[in-house]
Amino acid sequence: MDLSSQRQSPNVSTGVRLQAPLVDSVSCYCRVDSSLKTVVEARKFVPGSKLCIQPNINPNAHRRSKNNPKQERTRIQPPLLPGLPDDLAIACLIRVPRAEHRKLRLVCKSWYRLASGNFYYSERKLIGMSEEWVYVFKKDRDGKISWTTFDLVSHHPHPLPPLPRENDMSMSLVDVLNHDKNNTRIWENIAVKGQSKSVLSNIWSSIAGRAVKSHIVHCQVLQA
Amino acid sequence: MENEKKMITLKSSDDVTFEVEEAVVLESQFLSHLVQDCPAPEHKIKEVTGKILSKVVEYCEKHVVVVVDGGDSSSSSGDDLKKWDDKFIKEMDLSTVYDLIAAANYLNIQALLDLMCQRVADVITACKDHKEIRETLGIVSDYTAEEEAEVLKENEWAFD
Repeated sequence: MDLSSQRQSPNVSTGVRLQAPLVDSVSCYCRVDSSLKTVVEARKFVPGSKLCIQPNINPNAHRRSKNNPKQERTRIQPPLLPGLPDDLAIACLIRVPRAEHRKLRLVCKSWYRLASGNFYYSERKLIGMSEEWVYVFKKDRDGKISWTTFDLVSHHPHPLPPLPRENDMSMSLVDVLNHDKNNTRIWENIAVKGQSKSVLSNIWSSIAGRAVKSHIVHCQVLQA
Repeated sequence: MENEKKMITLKSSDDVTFEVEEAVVLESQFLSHLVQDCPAPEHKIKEVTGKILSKVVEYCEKHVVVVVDGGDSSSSSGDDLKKWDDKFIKEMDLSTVYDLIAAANYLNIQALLDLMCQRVADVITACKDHKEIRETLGIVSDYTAEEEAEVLKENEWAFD
């Protein structure tokens, strides 16, 4: 009996939550007072309450500030997938295999922003979709540096264009670490700039200095 | 046994009714809460149309049966289920897939949501280039020709 009564009470509250109408939290609470014919008298009973009369409500009081460009931009931004809310569109897009990601960036600006950001890779990691590739750097006798990459899922090498030789370049890697298996999730963007040789030695010494195993989920090189 | 056979009626937004076993309803976290909270014989789901709800019910019924049968030969039923899932999504058009994603999200059926999102990802993967992706998904590019060329150039150096 005890068990059933205990079960009942949280259920009832869940039911209420499910049925609750959406509350417009920004609406003016003055509406509550609309039935009070004599606001001045009401004030007597609620000392300290502000006098507010319905017709004088400033309609602009809760309007969103136009000076907030970020909010404005979010509002006019086209959906990632027409027909789906963005959170569900992201749930679809994070399942696209890594080899296709450069196509994604070419589709439109919002896809570019998504597929270039750390959020995308940490979400992929979260659902166990991250694919780790091994980058192998080679230096021949003449000092020429070349590189190649292996896909650890299919074990296929992926062709890479030659590294810029003397140019300034910047390289960024998104590193996802998992310190403990429960829930700690850290990502960081290691980015370095400079000549190709120093970029490579800096980036690898930065990774090698880590006590924990690194998981590189995204690599991008830009030529200056 | 009596519990398993308890029937529940679901009504879609356009008043199409589906009579299902309680076990089927329990596949959806939302519906299982709803059934526990309001022990009414019929539940109206205003956010889901009859066409989509029939697909949801079809999916949940299949998955319940296999889980129950799983005791005998779990590996083969797992394969069968995958085959069934493939067939289930094969002939579905994109708007149905989108509607099912929204419904699975609303009704909180994780496995169906995963399956449908993967379907969209597969559609994208099957496209040969970005133009085909735009065409297939009805996306209008907001790149200027110069911007697109720049991303293309950048892509030569992005290895992911």
